[in-house]
Amino acid sequence: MESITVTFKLNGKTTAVAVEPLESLRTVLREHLHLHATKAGCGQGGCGSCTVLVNGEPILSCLMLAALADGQEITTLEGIGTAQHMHPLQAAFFDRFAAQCGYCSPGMIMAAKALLDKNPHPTRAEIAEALAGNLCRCTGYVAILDAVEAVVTQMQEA
Amino acid sequence: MGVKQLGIVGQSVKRRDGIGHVTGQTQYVDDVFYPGMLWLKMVRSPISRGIIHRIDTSKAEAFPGVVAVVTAKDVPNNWYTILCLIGVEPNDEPVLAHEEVMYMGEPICAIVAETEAIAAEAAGLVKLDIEELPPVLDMEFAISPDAPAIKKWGNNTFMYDGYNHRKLRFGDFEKAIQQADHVIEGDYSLSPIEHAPIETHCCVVKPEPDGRLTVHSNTQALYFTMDNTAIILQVPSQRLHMIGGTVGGGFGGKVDVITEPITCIAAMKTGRPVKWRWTREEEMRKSSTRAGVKMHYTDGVMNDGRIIARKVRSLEDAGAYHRHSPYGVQKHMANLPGPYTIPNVWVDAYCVYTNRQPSSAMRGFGVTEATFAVECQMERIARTIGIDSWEIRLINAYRNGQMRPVQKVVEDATLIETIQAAAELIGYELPAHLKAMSSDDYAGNGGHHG
Amino acid sequence: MNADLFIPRSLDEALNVVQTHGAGLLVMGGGTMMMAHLNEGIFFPQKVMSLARAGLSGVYRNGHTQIGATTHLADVSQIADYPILAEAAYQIGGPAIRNMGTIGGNLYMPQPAGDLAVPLLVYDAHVELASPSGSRTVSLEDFLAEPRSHRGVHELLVAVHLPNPSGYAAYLKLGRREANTPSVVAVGVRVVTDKQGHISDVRLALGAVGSFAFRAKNAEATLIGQSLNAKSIADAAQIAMEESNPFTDALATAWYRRRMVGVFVKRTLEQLTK
Repeated sequence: MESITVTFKLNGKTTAVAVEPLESLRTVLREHLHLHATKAGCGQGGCGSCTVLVNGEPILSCLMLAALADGQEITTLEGIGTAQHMHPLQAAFFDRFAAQCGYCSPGMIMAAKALLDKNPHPTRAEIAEALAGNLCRCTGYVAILDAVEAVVTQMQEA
Repeated sequence: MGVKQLGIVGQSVKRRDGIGHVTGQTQYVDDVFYPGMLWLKMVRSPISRGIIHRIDTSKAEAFPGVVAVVTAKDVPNNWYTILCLIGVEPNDEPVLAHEEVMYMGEPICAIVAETEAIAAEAAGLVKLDIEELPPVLDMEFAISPDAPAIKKWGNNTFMYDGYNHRKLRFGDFEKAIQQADHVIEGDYSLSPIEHAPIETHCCVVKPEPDGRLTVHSNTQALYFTMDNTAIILQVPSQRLHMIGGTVGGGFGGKVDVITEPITCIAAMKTGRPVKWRWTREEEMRKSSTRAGVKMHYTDGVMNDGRIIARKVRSLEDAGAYHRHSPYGVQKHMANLPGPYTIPNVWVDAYCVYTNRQPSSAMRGFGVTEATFAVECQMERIARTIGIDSWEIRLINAYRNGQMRPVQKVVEDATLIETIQAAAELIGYELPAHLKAMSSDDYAGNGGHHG
Repeated sequence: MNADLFIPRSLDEALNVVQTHGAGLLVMGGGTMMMAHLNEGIFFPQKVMSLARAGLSGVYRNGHTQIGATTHLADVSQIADYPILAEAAYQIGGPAIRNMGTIGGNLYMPQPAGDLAVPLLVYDAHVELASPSGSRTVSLEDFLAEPRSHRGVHELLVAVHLPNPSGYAAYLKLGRREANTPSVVAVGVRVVTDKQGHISDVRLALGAVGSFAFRAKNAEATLIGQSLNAKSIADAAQIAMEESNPFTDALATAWYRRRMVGVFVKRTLEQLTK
C-alpha cells in the first residue's frame, strides 16, 4: 500500500501530510513535520512523554496510528506557548524547577493542560491522577505537582 | 573579598536550559535529523552463553533498503574496555561479538538501512549459528570450583594484584572477634537495578567532508566517550567532533561508551549520517545495570555497643564483562566497613563475572550498596544487644583524626553533627550524653584508637 | 514495510475485510497493545485493520446493558450502574491510555493486563462475536478460555452484554505502584444475600493469577449459604489461593501472587461487610 494523505488541524493550522500506513502519530509529528517537543520515551504507552491532545483529550501519540488523525484537531507542546510567550504551565514548570532532564516535561505539561482545560480548580490529588500516566525518572514529582498547583492558584486569583 | 560581591550564593538561579525544556525547544540527540540519514539496528545474542560458528548476513544485506551490515571485522580495534586508560585489564569485551557470546543481548552485528523499520525487519533476517553452552548465572556458583571458567584468564573473577578478590586488612580481626561480647552476623543482598532514563540511548554521527565525524551523543561523559571511541576507531581524537551535554536522564546509565563507536563505524562505512536509538526494551534489558550484590557481615560487638571487629565478604555481579565494575568493587571494598571507627577490619570483595547483562555505573555504585548493608547491620546490632538506634551509630561514628581501615585519617567528619541535626529536625530529643558528642571528641566512642 | 491498513466505517465494511483478508489480518481496537509491539519491532504485519471508526462504541440500555467493543476505557469508567466495572476501568493506565484503550481490546490483552475481564466475569458478561457468516454470543468465561491468536481472524468481538446487576460488588487491584501498572492480582466479587444475610449467589473472579481471568468456583461454593464473617472470608481466601495458578513475571513471583490472592480476596470480601 502506498502512503496515505492525512489532513488534520495541527496547533490551529490545517496540515496535510503523507504517512506510511502503520506509522504512529508521534513518528509523523517528529520525523515528517519536525515538531520535536513530543518525545519518544518508550513506544509502549508506559511513560507519557509523547502525550498530545486530540480534540482536547490527552492521548499517547506513539500508540495512535497517524492515519486515524485524519479530520482531528491535534495540539502539541509547540502549540501552547513559545519561549517568548510561555503558557502559564510552561512558566510555572520553569519557575519552580519542575523540569530536570526535561524529557518528560512536554508530556507532563500536555497532560496537565488537558486537566486544567476541563477542571480549572483541581485538588492536588486530582492533579496527581491526571499525571498518573506520565513518568518522571528524575523523580521531580513534588516540583511538578507544585508547578501545576501554582497555575491553579494563579487562575483562582485572576 | 567582601560579602557584597557574592551575587549568586543564597539566590535561586533559574536553569539556563529550563525554558528550552518546558517549551520543547531543547535539542536532544533523537531530535537531530540530517538529510539522507540512515538508521541502525543491532542484531543481538538470543542466548546467554555460546560459541559463534557462523553469522550469515546475506539475506539481510539483500533486503531492499539495507545499505550496510557492520560486523566485528569492520571494527579497527575490536575491544571495548572502557577503563583501559586507568589500567583495567586484560581486554575482555569485544565491541561486536565474533567468537563467543557471553550474555543475552550481546551485540553481534549492525544493520544500516534507509529507514528504522527496514533496519529492524532486516535484523531479523541475520542467521546466527551459535552453539549454546550452559550459562553461569549465580555468583556463588561462579566462584565455586564446579563452575566453568567463562573468562579467558581461567576463572570468573577480576584479579586484584594476583588475588581473585580485593582485600582490606586492618588490625587483627581474628583476635578481636574472640574478645567480643557478641558475634552478630547478617546477610544483605540487592538485585540489579536498571537506570530507566526516559530518553533511551541514542547517537547520531555525520561524516564531514574534511574526514572528521560529527558525533551527537547523549553520554554523561563526553571526553571519556571521545577517548574510548578514538581508541576503538584507531583515529586521533581530533577527528571526532563531539557534541553532547543534553541528556534526557542518565543516573550513571549513560557512562558506558556503548552507541558511539558502532554508529561512527556505520557512518564511515556508508559515508552517510547514521542514527542509532534504542527501544525501551533494549534500554531495560540490554543496557548495563547497577550490579546485584550479596554481602555477609560478621561483627564483634561489646556490651556497651562498641564494634571492635568487622568482617565482610561481598560478591558483586559484574555480569559478562568488566565495564565499570572492577572500579566499582574497589569503591565498594573501601565503604563496606561503614563510616564507623572499628579497630579490626577484614574485607574480601569479589568482582564476579556471570553470563548476565553487564553491570556498570549507577549513582554511587559500590558505595550505596555498602551503605544499605551497613545500616541494616547497625540496626540488627542495636536490636540484638538492646541498645538505642541513635546511640549505636553515635558511639561508633568516626571522629576527626582517627585512622580508617583504608589507611586514611578522618578529616572534616560531620557524621555526629548530621545525626544530631536530623534528630532535631524530626523532633526527637536525644539524651544529653549523645547531644554532647562531637566529631572532635574521642571519649564518646569509648577511647577507640585515634 | 508495505503494509495494508484498513479503516472500515461500519461493521459490515469490517466484516468484508475479515472475509477477504482474515487469514493474515491483525485487528486493532484502541491500538494500545499492537502499536507497542510495532514500535518495539517485534513483528511486521502485512495487513492491519483498525476498528476505531467502525461505529462500534457506545453504551446502550434495553432491558440489559450493551457496551460496544471500541468503547474507550474512559467511557467505561463512567458507567455508574456497574460500579466495579467503572472502578476497574479507572484503575487502568493513566488518562491518556483510558482515552485510547477499548473494552473489547482489553479482553484480548494477555495477563497480567486485561483487568476488565474480572468485573465483567463478576457481572455475568456475555460477548457478541460477529463473522461474515453470522454472529454468536458466548459467556465471557467461555470466550476467555478459547485459544486465540492475534494474527488471523475470522470473527470480531463487537459488543459486551451485561444483565442488570444484583447484590453488592467490590473490586481491588494490587499493583507495584498506585497507578499506570499491570496487576499483581485483581479481585472482583459480587454477593447476593437472602433476608437472613446468607449468601444465595456469589461471583468471585481473579485476574493476573492464571493464563486468563477466571471465576474461583470452589471459593464461591464455600460461600454459598454462609454469612460473611471472619471465618467464611478466611475460608474463601484460602480456597481461592489454592484455586489460582499464578505465574512469575517482572512484576511479581508466582509465590507472591498466590499469597496476595489470599490477602486481596479477604480484603475484597471485607469491603462487603462494611
